[in-house]
Amino acid sequence: MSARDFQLAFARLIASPETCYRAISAEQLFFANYELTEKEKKRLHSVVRQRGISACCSLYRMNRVTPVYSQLSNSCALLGDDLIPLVEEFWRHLSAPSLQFREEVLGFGQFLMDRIVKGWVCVPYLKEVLELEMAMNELSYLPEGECRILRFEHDIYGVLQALAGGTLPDDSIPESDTEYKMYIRDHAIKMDPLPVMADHSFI
Amino acid sequence: MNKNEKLGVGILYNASLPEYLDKHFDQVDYIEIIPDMFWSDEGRGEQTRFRPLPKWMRQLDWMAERLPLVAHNIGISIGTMEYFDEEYIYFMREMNTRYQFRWHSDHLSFLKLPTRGPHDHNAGIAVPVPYDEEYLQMIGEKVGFIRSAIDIPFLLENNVYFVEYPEQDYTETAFVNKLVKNHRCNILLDIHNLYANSINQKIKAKEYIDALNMEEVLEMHIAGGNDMNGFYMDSHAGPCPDEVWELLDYAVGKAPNLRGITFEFHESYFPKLQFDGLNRQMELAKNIWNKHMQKHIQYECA
Repeated sequence: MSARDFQLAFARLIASPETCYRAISAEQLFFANYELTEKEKKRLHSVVRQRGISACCSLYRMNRVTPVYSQLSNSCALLGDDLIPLVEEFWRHLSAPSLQFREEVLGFGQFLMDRIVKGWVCVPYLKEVLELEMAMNELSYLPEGECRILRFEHDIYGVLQALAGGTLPDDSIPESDTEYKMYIRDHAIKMDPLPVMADHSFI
Repeated sequence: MNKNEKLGVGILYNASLPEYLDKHFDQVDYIEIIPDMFWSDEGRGEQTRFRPLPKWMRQLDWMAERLPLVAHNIGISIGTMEYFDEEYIYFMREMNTRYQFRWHSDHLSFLKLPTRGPHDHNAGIAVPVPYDEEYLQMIGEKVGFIRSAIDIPFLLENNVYFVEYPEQDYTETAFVNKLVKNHRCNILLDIHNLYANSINQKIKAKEYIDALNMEEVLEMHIAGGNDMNGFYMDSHAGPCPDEVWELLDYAVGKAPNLRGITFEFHESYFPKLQFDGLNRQMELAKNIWNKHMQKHIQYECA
């Protein structure tokens, strides 16, 4: 059991600079969580004090944020400096991650959407862009033929165009209550506008 | 298939490569894939555990029709104590039947930590194992299982590391040499990892190569890196530094059974490399490959 606990303890250190500080300031308390031999305690005592532990922690954070950053890139651009505090909060909720792309990306997306819906995160256009990127991700795991219906309150192409140009969309993006069907055909993601219903209240 | 076939110079597949391969696949002798990128792992015990990702699988089939493939795993986690994912190995066997990998490999480290499942905790970085007798025995047993399940060479890659464990039973080279001697596996010598360790840990790279059983090296990795907070990172950041080419030249000359040199780069550096930059890296690697392969042939004839 002890070697397995040693590996678990080391992984916990890599995943959190705060845990590293705690392991230095209250070492016996940290060790008490694990079944360790004296040799393993000596090793953990040593590695947490080596300069390289900071490189390990940085690598962990880079590897963990990469799926979110690459798959929800426009949402991340809209979040700007708010991204890191939010992913850190998400990581605290998911403390034993598998780092599967789907779990990390869709998990963070749902976490963020929850905060948007509750009004805790208020960034113009973020809800629409996040819904779009989440749908693209979900479809990428599904066979052709599956689809998602999305409703945008602004001209989504105008929003994406601004982001593609490296700028944040301003409030000049026209409002547009449009539904789209998103699907994959011929290996590419397509999005078709749906006909406008005469009066949604009758549905 | 010739079991000792020398492939030449290959490239590690990433999402930026389809366009390059479409136009320049004659520059590449083989493609190395990370199989874990081509499927979604639903977790241990799930009825359909590994779900192929349609878009990625189409690219894999396209490549398999044109070039030899080599598999470089990140999911075996051979160094994890009290854990071995046999389902993963059996799925790799199916993949090998379909794609005829020339060899496969993983890292001499641990990544996954068992939970009740279905998903295992992922440590986020490949963590080197302590080079102790206990770990040697444990890894040796797993290598034996892998070798009996999948009938192609299995290679283990030397680590890049940022911290050192005190009081280890073996040096890294002694540990690797004993492992390959006793357990029928081979070595993937990552020249860039070695270079990074020479900067960060001040190890002598050529002495490391001299101490390693180079007859068991079947593949070498080369890559670029960059500096971060006073450390040199194995970030696969574009072209190889001059020192990596020099070390590669030194190492290839000592590896008579080498079958391939693989250039690794991260897809985010494709804009920096472009087609010409990639061709240049392939050309430099081929120069070294050709220089030494001719020498090896001459020695064999003599």
